[in-house]
Amino acid sequence: MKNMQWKLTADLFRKQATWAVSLLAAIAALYIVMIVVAAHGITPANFLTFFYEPAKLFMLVIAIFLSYSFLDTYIKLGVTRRQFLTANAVTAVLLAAGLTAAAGVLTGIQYAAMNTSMINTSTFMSLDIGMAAALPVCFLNLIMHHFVGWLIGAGFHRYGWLPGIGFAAGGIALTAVSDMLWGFESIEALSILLSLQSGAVTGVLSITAAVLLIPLVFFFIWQITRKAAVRS
Amino acid sequence: MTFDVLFKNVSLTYKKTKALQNVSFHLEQGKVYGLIGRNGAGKTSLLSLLASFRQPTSGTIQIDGVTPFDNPRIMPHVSYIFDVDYKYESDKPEHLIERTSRYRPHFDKAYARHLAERFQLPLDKPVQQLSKGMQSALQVILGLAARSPVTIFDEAYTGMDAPSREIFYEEVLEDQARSPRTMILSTHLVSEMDYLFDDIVMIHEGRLVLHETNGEPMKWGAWITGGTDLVEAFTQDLTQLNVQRLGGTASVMVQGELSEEKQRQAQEQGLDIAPVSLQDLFIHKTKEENDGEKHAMEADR
Repeated sequence: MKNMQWKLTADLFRKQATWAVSLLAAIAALYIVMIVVAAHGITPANFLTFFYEPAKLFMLVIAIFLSYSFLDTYIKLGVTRRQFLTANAVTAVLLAAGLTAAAGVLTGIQYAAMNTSMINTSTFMSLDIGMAAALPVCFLNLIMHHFVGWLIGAGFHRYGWLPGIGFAAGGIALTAVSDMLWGFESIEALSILLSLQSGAVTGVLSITAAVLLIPLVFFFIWQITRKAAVRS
Repeated sequence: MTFDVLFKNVSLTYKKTKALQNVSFHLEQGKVYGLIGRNGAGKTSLLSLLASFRQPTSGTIQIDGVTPFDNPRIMPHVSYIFDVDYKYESDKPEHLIERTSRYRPHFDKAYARHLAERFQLPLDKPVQQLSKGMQSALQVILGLAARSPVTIFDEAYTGMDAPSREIFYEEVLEDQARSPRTMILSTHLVSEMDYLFDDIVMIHEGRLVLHETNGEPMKWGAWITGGTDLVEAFTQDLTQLNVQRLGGTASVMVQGELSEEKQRQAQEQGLDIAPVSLQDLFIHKTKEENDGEKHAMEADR
């Protein structure tokens, strides 16, 4: 049984890691082209900042796809829902760690290779924070986006298309709340809606809330998935 | 592990549709079971419960004495093979065989290759480009080579042509002799497959209507054939299921086993006695249930 769990985790990670490497290569290529061709040697932001938004979108989309189609595939192969959930959670963490580390290393190389005055750091995740703080934030936010994508996919899988759209809306709201709690992106519309100013909830409380959102989303995923029927 | 299967008062409801109603039976390990029922009878619903694809609305399902749903001790040992739509499957059969072998503990890759040769299945062509018959053959190969202690084939072979189905039937018998397992073959191709079954489980409109050993057809009933007058007189005190007349000859299908006295009388009167086929039983058992329900509804009115 443990053997099965390892195999599944390895298979899910291998599949997603292949896609992640492709993404990283594509974004790095695009970034270099932008520096060389468009910005004439001046970068609009460092690589980590440039990579951050597409990476979040990537985590969201692959998780929607995985939870919607792979759950059935693996249950048909005799894998339990709990094993799939565990493997997917471990994969999300490994993938987020891998992407953050790779982007961090490339950013480090960029700083070593380029004149730092040519790198615009003021837009670094919209906050004046250093790499040491940015990397864990990036890591946790990528996990959060994977889990939110998973929640959306699980909602579509279990309840069908119309309720699934509700899950998609809920997922977008969750990511907005998460972003607001981290205080890195101005979510003006949501802030107005909630009668909050952007970044109003700050400090230790907001970071704690943002981190706690991750297990909370995971709990909802488990509740939706544990009795999900396979579409035959 | 015994992998006996137990259904106890199992019901399944989809929204307002009752797919299964109070179904109870016990399947012993190592036998081939024919699950027979008309389209929409509830066969796939029943099998999807056994494969842990969903949970019953009420009742108990056990395999080897435990609930199979999401049970890591049981699920790897239950293979459910059904008619899959492969139009989006870009992987090749060899990849699907490799992937299945990673998760099925008893999977025999050499046997899978042997089966691919017998079915003339190309292993290096994307599955979506294979014909419907070849896709069905792939399903059958994955199911047989998995050698799961509980193996379910749910009409997975209907896309195959007659010679391919014949190969499948031969392999079922040969591999069952080599590696006995609890095999359930769900079908409505009753006359073609009846020789494969050790036992019969028949369901109709979500209810179990028959669970019998397949080898004692005289127990189910008999066809009495002879001169019309003689046959009518002989069968008048028996439960008649079907009557066919041709000229001065009549054939009457009667329900239940004929007593020795009745068999002797038939012989004395020159009447022929032939066993009822499973196909006959299937047709009349499901018709009988419908008639019964129709009469009950009329009585209610």
